Amino acid sequence: MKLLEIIELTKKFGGFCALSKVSFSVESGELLGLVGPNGAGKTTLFNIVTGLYKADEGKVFFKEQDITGLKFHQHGVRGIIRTFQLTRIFSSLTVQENIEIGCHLQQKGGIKRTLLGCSREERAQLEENVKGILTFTGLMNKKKMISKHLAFGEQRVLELAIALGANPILLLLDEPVAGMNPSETKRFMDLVHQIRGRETTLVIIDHDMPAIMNNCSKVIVMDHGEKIAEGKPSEIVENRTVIESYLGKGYRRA
Amino acid sequence: MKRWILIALAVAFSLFLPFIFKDDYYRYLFVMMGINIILVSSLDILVGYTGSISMAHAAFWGVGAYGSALLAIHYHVGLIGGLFVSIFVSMIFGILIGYPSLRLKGHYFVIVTFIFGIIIEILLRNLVQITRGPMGLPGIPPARLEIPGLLKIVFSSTLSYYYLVLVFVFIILILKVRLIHSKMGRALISIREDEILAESVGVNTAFYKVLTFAISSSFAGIAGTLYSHFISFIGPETFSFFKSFELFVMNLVGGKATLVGPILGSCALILLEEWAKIFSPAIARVVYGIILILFIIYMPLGIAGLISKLKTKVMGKRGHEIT
Repeated sequence: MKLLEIIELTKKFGGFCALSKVSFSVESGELLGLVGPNGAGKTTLFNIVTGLYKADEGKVFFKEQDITGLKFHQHGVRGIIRTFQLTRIFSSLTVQENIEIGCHLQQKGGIKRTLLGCSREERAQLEENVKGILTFTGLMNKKKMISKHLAFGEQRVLELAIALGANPILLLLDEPVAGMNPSETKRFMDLVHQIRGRETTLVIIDHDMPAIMNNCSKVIVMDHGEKIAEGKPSEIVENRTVIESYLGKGYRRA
Repeated sequence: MKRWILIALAVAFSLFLPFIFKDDYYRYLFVMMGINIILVSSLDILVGYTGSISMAHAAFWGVGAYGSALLAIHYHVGLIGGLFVSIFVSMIFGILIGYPSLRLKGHYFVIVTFIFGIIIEILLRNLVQITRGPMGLPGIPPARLEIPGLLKIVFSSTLSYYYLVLVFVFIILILKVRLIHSKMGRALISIREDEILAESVGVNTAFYKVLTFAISSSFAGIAGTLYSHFISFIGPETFSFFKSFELFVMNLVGGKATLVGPILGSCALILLEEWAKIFSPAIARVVYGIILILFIIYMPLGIAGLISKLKTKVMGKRGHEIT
């Protein structure tokens, strides 16, 4: 089943064409890699798919429904959750509070709950969810820490943890392993695989070629706002255009 | 447990306060402190928790005060009717200013609220047929709580008024605590911390921002009703930009995004202002100003921040709470 379908998406910033007629689709359960040189339009694509920017032309379908032009937070409600290239966390709150906010959509509001407090079961449910995410991401023993004091790699994991709180159906990760050392990257990619196992579809932007090529089921390569290749990792590394524009002639599959 | 003991002590203290200081002058000060606590606590929901700095809070207060004062003078409406009207009117004005907050960020928004406050003051000053302009509204009757056939209380003495205000202070503080610890409270904090990240996990920031303005300004409206009945004369200059700024400073000095901060801040600044009057009026303002500057330099997190810092030092406890 096509979970996400992007049709001829175009975005211009002044005279600069950040995206020109990009089309592709993401199958349910896939782990898609999106690669390409800096300025290729990868993050712009994410911004449009999640509603942060408006596209000039083209359409985005999610679960066969047209979601073009929906507001940013409405994408979250539908289960399209993203992380950011420059780490975004609620930096002066504790790790636990960060994840509690991530669980916003799972919580119930309303005047009665606000005035009288939510029921014991609902409170327990929230705690349970937060605990589950803390254990899953391995941040359990840091839950009381103010999140800006976390190490860089842990901050990126926390960002993922916040996103998980929103129960994503489609999770878009923007350069999640940039700046991580190989062991941190490996740990992160293990998490990604486990998330995929929970019936979440993922799209990852990154420049870490081994991480992308070894883990993704499909790779899309972009350059100058256009899609230049699409296929299995093994096909991509053999693709002439991709080698010339991005990978370089010396690239061998790690 | 320790927390409840502290709260019980604070409540007991506030109940006996007017009997410790029996002078009417002190009781007057306590009532003013109470009204300011309501104002600063409601402002704190905006400034401290949501992170939208409003310089129009005194205007919401003024709208509420004028609304219920006019009703009391012309139609002899009692306390409850007056409260309903002031809450409603202030809320409308709160939504009016909350709406542009969706498009404007940072300094630009502060400037808009600032101008909004000035516009309200100009309106109060110039709608002479309604507000009597700069002459002000004299002869506002004392607050009257009436339930036909059941009870009728007229809060004419300062002592009785102290307890009336105290009840509202408790109500507002309880509402504030409940709000902050609800789903909405967490959403507000997330808006302050990182609006884009908040939206990315599905927080409808636009809705919460406008709602916060509505709630915060309606609390200011309540303070307006309490103030107008107490002081019996209101004029436009009370609700000027300077008052908005003073409320903001009270919040800053007391400590933002805390429960006790606004309480300590309003009490401290009212006392400070009174004590500064020992000096001649020209010097008084300067002394007041200098002390404020020292406060902001050496206690950036306010009195509440200082207390929690000392507590951390004594107990060696790590981390903090967002109460």
